[in-house]
Amino acid sequence: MAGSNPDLFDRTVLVVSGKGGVGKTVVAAACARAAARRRPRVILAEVEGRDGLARLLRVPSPGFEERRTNFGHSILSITGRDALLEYLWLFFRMKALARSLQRAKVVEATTEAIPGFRDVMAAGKLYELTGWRSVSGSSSGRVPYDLVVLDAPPTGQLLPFLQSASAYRDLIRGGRPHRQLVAIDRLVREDSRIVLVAAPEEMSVAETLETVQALGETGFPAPVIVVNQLLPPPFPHGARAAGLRLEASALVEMLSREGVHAEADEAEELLRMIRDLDARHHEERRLVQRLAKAAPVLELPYLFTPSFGPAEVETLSRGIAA
Amino acid sequence: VKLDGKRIVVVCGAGGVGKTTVSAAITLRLASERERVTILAVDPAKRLATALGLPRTPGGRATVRGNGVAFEAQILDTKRTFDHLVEQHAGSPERRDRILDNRFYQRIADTLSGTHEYMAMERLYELAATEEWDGIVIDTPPTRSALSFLDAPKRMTDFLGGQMLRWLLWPYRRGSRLGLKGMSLGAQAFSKTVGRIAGNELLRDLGEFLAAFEGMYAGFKERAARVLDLLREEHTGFVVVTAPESGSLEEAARFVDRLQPAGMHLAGVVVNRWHHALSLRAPEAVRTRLAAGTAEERAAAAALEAAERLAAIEEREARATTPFTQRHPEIPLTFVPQLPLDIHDVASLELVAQHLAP
Repeated sequence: MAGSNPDLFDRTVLVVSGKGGVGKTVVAAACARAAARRRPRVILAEVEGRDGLARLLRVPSPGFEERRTNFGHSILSITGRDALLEYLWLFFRMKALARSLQRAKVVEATTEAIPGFRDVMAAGKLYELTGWRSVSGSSSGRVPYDLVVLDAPPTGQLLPFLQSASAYRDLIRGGRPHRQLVAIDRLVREDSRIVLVAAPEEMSVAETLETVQALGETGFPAPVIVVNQLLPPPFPHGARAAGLRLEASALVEMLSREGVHAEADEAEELLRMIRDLDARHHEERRLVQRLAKAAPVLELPYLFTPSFGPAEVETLSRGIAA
Repeated sequence: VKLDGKRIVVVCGAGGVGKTTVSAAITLRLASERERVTILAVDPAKRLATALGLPRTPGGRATVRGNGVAFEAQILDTKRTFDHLVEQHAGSPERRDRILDNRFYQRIADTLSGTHEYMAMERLYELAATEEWDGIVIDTPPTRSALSFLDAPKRMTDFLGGQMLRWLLWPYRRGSRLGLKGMSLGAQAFSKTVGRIAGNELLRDLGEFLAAFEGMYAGFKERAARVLDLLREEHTGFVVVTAPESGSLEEAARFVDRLQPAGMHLAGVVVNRWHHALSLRAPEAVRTRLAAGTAEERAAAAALEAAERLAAIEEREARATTPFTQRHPEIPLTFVPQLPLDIHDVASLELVAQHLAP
């Protein structure tokens, strides 16, 4: 992997998406950690993420308040509802009213029911975290971030999310909201990089390839694919043929010379496992090659650690920055 | 997983845990004992659909065969199910058309969260009402959370009957009986502001949709109550599928907590893609010596190293299940091991089914 990895941190927003269960949140966290080693102001944000980031990093839930961590970046949990409340405050000074409406569930109903509204409010928050703050000056006392790493909605909901600003821009023809939507859309289209996280298995690869194509058709720049949880080659160099030939009885004998007692069926089970792993590994290489034809690929290993937390995120972040 | 006496099996779980595979395996199991069995799926992954011969388009139906058993597979058509519901409850052709032609309604399945889940229940109710099936398995729509399935009816009825939303949308509704009375100036300002952000046209569509829906709300709500009753029946069992990870298991526990107060019955909790440690292990010194030996010995050392790594994963997964088993010692977990390769035909599905059997 050395040296040839694509640069993920050359834009203002890094959108990390993927099918459920492929490690999207973990990869987003690892990207933020890697980016924080190079750039001073990095924030890791989730969208409607229900505290997945806080759980992974074992820090208190940030809610809609930017919170510093010991990892060199801040974290934040974005919901469309909170983003709407903030927007109403920033531009219409309607905070108190909005809060009372929220108690009556109106804000919830609004973000729930109006098509794409939740998405566009969350996308607007990205703009607030970056460009808006520099435009609106220091009146808010808040400094814009250099990079927002987004634990984005899963691939199935990615395009509606990315396109929400342009959809609303076409609906609302004038005034400040229109200008803001134009700016949000530009941020998403021109100043963002998209990462699709894939697991090395058929279903995830198929969905990733479909998403790459859909992004291309709708005019988004080509994404980078991160293949997560790749198995190492099971056999050391030059030992594969011998390993595939090895018989259970020979293994039992070899181990007994080393003073380890093994039953024949135990030896059989071990050999079956390593051959399955070998088959799996070759299947994975084939899938990676298929992905590499569609977009630049960055590979991350499966981690055989007894737990999964900040230390594992750190390990993966080294693989991303290599 | 206890399937005895269950005519309806509802399979729940967050996206990405292998819910469709487990649902199909349960269906296969039921089909080996019963005559007429069907699975209602929502958007199965292409690869799995191809492997098993499942249809993929909404409303599609196909017969899945293998190992001497057969079952019917059908794909939920959210829009069609909702249309059907509207047709039944509209009361007049005018109202029916007003709803079906409304632009907000036409996009409702994509935009209003909970619609897929609710329509899956509604379709289940339709299937259960016919005497056609001895066994119905429903693979619930993929969501971030298993809980959103249980929340769907309330979400839908709250939304469709939501007085607050009606107030908010007041300026966008024609023929409304609700006047300005009771609507504060603040709410008007809010409504105007949201219109500025969201676009008046959208709000008008939404307002008109809700106005048209008003007359059928009572019927709709009653129907939702009957659908929930079906889910509470003794012969309906819930299966929760989880990954062997703490977040996923925590959510499964919360789901289980919700079932009993709701009067619903748990049929099993499936921990999918479990890694089993092997019994054959060798001390590090032995592995190191073998790793410096002949090709055969080096291969054996690699296999023993892999066994160590597998044991570490099992340990991680076992630790992840501890909070669940402490909270629910009375609920046995069903472990389905990680298969060496993807499901590629009905025979490999049988492997999963074997692990589900009591």
